[in-house]
Amino acid sequence: MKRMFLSGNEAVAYGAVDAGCRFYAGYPITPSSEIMHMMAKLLPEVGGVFIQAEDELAAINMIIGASWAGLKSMTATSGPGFSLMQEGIGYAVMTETPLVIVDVMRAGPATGQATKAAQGDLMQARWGRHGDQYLVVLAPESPQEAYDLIIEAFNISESLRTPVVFLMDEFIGHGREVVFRKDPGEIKLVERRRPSDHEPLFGSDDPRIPPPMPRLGEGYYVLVTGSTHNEYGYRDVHSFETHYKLVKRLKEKIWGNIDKVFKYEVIGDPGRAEKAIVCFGSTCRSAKEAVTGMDNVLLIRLITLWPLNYDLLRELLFNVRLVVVPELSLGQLIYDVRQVVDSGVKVVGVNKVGGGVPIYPSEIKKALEV
Amino acid sequence: MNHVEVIDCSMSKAFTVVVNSLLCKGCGICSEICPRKVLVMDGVNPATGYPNPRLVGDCIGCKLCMWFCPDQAIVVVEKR
Amino acid sequence: MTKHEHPSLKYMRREVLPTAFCPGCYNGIVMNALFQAFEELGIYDLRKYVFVSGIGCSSWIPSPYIKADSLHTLHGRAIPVATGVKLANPELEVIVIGGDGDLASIGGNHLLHAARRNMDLVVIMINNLVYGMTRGQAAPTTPKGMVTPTTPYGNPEEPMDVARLIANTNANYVARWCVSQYLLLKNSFKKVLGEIKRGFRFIEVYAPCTTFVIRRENKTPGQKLKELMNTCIGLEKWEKLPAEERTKYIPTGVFREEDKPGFIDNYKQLITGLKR
Repeated sequence: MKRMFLSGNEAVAYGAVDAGCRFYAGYPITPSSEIMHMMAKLLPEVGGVFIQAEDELAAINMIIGASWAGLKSMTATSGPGFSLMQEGIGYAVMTETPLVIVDVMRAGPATGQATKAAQGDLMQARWGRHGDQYLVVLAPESPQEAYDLIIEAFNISESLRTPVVFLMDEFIGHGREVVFRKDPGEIKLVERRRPSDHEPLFGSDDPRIPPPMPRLGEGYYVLVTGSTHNEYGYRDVHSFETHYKLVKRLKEKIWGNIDKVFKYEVIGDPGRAEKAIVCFGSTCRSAKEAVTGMDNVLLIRLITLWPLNYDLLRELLFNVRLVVVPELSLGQLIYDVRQVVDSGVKVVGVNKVGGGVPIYPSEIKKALEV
Repeated sequence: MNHVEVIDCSMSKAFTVVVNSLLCKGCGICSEICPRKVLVMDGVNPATGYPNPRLVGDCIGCKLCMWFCPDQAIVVVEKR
Repeated sequence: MTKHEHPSLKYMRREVLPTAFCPGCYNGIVMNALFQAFEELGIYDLRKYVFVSGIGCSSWIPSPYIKADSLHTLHGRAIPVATGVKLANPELEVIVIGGDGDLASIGGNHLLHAARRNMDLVVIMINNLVYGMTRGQAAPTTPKGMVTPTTPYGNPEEPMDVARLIANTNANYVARWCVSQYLLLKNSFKKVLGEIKRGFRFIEVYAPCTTFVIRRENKTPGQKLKELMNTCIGLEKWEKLPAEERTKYIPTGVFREEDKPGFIDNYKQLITGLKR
């Protein structure tokens, strides 16, 4: 273990390399560029490959190709680039390509305020692709967690054969804190399952178990396509059965594994609390400060933002009369909270975005007194 | 392509022209490109609805029909 | 299985034939030339070759018809996917097959930069002058004045000469052949698969769409092929023509050719000695 003083961006780069990432393609965009700079330096040192792409469309597609050629691959971007990458991410969902995409969120929409933190890409991270598609969304709250969680992101992407979206914001990306970097022996890594015999490469009897993934160039003659396909990869753009079966299996592959991938932190006693805060990312830092010393407030910090365990949330909040949802946006997580509480429960958002101004603990405290 | 229906156009002295009628889409390129004009598009194949080429003269074995057949449906073989 | 089958068939997935291509589509002729090139090079197993394609009729050539690893990707994005594959495993020979709409319109930026980088890829662009799969809309290669569903009064735009454009980059090999120039096309494939094996190798195949271009000219695909045999002429010959005559002919040939190190060689040289 090595004690370092890192920004969230740097922590992501070290974590990715420690997770076995050996390919990075990216495009510069504030506030994520430092991830790319670090990967450009670190990857050749470990025998990996780095390339700066001509745009985000190229970046996402390059990492898809590299993943099929057998390398763990990653890219990092921010809102505008994330928007450009959606089609590519959808292709990765459809073809079950393990990938990690980091979005260091900034104020939007459009060009917005490039250097100012925000949390407005949550819905896009879940729903940005057209059609029926599901993937995993994770969000750390600190550089230390960014380091640990990015390793987890790679493990989930490999074990479920899915792209994983990693949401940070500019505060975490640029803010510097102590990070303990693990030694190789301390890290548990997951690799994609390789095929044995003539197993179907795009289908499985149990939807929760992803199909095995071959490497290109080993004689599997794999048919990878973004069109609807059967379990052997043959394109079928006509039948109802093939399409319905495919999209349902892809959904169940994510939601059926919710127990494995849903991570969260709880501070306080759900049995006693009458008030609660539900948050993710950097706003939780202010929220944790706000609830110090209070014993009737429950703080639920979501680390996995998708799939979301609504049943678990509902259970945790069963006793609560007021929920405060602080977000560096005009409100997106708040819709999830409204879904899981009774109509009599008051749900209040603390919404602020722009100018690089955080949500202060005092503002959250004030909302709790309502 | 389950089974192959073959039209063996063996009129030629030195070459056999074999047409896989299940692959042939009756486009007529072979007939048009043949320098000796010995291929004629003929009839309607009941399995596919397309006409197939028929050999009506001596094939010289130039293989242009083979190269230019977009459906790999015609083969020129030297007779032993 | 018949005793005599077309030599191309050993490289193809027989279970999905006949192809979905229109009767008389020139895609199949390009396939024949490509497979004959493999055969003459003594390559019978395509396991070290990866085919990447986008969206469009010619993008269906590798997926599913070629018996090899294939990545059928998004419209315009075959080249970046191919780049990722090649960089991740340089042992593989990565071949991109796509149309003019896919590679030069929506994918134009990627084509330009891959050529600029001299990325170690083979790119075969089958130029059918329109967007065939979507029923014949105008493309950046559509001749000025041509009537299509999106240019019902005639195409107001000047077309793009893709091979000439790419010839002005750093690419190792740039050529254009008519689909009627079968032997020259086949030899060109042999060159980029057997002789120059690094850097960006781009081959444009001029092959007008049978259904949405040739038929509108009231010709058959066979007649058009014979016409092309007369109207495709060498680059030098074309340069010597007076300006008014040039529009009647299609210049074909090798625009540039050199066997210099590609992107991977350059990258490796810069990072030698770094690996700990």
